[in-house]
Amino acid sequence: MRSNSEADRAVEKYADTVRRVCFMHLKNYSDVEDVFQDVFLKYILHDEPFESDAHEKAWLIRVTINSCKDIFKSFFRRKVCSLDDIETEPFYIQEESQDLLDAVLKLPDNYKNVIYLFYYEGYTAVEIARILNRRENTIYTWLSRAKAKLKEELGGEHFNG
Amino acid sequence: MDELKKVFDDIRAEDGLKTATAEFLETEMNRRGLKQNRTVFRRFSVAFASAAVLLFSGMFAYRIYFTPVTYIDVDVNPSIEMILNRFDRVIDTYAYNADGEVILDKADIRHKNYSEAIGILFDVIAQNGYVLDDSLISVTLQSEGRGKENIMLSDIESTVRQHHGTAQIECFTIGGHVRDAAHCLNLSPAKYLAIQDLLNVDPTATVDGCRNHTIGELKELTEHHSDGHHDAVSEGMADPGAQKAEESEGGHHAGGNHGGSHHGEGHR
Repeated sequence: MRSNSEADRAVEKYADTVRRVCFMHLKNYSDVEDVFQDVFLKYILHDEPFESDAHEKAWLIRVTINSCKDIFKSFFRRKVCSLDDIETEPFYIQEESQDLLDAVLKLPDNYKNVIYLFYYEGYTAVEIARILNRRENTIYTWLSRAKAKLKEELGGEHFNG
Repeated sequence: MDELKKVFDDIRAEDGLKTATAEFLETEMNRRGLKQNRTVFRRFSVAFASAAVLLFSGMFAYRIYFTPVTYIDVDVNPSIEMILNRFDRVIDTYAYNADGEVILDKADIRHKNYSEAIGILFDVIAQNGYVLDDSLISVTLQSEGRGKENIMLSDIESTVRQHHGTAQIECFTIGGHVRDAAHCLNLSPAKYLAIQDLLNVDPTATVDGCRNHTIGELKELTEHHSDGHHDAVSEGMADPGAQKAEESEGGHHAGGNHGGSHHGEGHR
């Protein structure tokens, strides 16, 4: 088990990354809190050392994505709709960016992940394949389909490349 | 794609979320740490208790095994005592004289059953020429009321007879007080009793003067005195060993000394 100071450092360093992944997948805040607790608890219980900061970050992203999936898999979550679901997003998003954000959030989960990892985190397809535990070709396929969907949604002005 | 970057840049973990997560982790770590400590403590407790049980069992078994219960004293001229535990195994030996030491040095009888030990002992005694055709072999047995004395005595007698069919054999039980008294004088109980008999008929005899004689010689002297040959016996008692040494071919019968020694772990 990792120490208190290691736990604090990890929360401070990776909370924003974990929050962004949660933002793409979760709508209500209590689920975000659950995922945060789950992810960082797994982190402090993970005794094996990380090769580098990049390795540590990739591990946390993978665990966060899996934890978000688990939230939706839970029987209770599937059958019950919480009042929290109607909570509004607490983030201020500029109006001109809202369309882009909505388009990304409308994508299927796998497409959202590759778009976020590729365009925001700057991972290569090979690295994304390792994080999501998929074949490289699958990542390329998802990436191209996600871009096509966004082009279709936004009229092509954002994704020319 | 800069726009997408800008959008995600605006998404940051709320301070409340970070604080709540940190607090949750701290609580969880304390709980798990205590649990881990308890688990470690429990594991050590179990290991410690097991070790203690093993240790006490070992000590108990050692104590049981090495508690003397029966004493078998053999006197040919080599005078030897075998001390047995409750499982009838030899846990200690004692030589009353130098001849006895010679035998015990050559006979490995520790931890053997008394019957097997007697067999080995008499093999070595015979190999060293201590037993002649007309020798008197005395075996005494003292046991703490186990009710097996007669069985053991007949077992011992038949074993000795197998080894020395022509010798005279006397096997009998004695009380603890006889053994104690004999031990005070560093004598085997059989020799002690033989000297007592001699002293009864010849008040001039002394224990030190008699201790180097074989029991057979002591009995002869006793008979001699009982028949009223007082003068001849007194001469014999002046240097009985010399008298008998001339009679015995091997010369072993007169070779004993006064010093006794333990072989093995001392219980006295």
